Amino acid sequence: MTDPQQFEAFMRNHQDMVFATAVRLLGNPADAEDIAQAVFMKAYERFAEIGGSPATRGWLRTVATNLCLNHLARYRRRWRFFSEMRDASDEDASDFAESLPAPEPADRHEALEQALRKLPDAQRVPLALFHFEGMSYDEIAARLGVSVGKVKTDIHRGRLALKRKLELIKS
Amino acid sequence: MNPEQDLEKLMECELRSLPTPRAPETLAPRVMGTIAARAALPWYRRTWFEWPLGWRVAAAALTVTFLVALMALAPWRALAGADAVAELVEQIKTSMAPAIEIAGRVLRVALPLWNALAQEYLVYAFAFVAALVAAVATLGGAARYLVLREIRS
Repeated sequence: MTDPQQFEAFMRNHQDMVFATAVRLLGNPADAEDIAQAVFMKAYERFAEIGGSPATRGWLRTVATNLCLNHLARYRRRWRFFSEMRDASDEDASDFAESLPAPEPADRHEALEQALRKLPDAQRVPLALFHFEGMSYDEIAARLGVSVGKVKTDIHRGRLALKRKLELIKS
Repeated sequence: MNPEQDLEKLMECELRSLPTPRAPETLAPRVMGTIAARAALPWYRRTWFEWPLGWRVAAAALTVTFLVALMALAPWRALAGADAVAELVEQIKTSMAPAIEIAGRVLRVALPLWNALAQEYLVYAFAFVAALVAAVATLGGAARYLVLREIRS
């Protein structure tokens, strides 16, 4: 039987990391909180196995990533399709972040974090998987069920959008 | 280094330097509240997998007993007599389209066969059906458990 107090201490140690993983993939703090809750409920069920394991952080990140991708697939439906529609309409998605009303949080980090969250799913998800989760292009393509070329294109567009945002902040 | 690599390196540096976003203060109370609410549920309102072992065994035994009894005492046993079946078929034939006649003929042939075979293979049939039911119940229970867990989480 898991001791709730012990589990709460465990959760407080890891909650920022889990939430960060989720919010960077989902771009929405409310959804990220739901996902983080789901991750910790799973962790509670398996606390006897993972509680003291050195692989705990990796396990939590993997579960958070999987739940986020499932969430996107299930509830945000067809983000891939959405992305392809944007491609088809010849709209440059990389302009998306800078087309938003100017923010602007004075803090550079905060501005970048906000810009990342406001990227379209099709750009933000592979970008976050690449830079925060350390996945390769091939792994991302396999995980998302899209071509490697599309992953590279989406990540490139996302990076360009963020770079422009950074340049705006500087200027 | 080409421009793409420069961009990748720049963004890697920028993104990696971002501080970890803090989880909302509401997260821990939400999780602990859900855990407490789940723990407060009486055992019979949880999934079968979370029942005490004794109750799980009893429920499984009861289910098997019920199914065996159903097989042994079921109404179709009363219909096993050829007269009753023939009468039923006649009624159906008269009240419904001639197409039923074909089905009636099949039944007339199949039912005596079924009765003859059932006498010999009833035990095996029961065992097969019981195994089938147990498998379906297990799968159903597992599916329900997974769905409920998904909903709760």
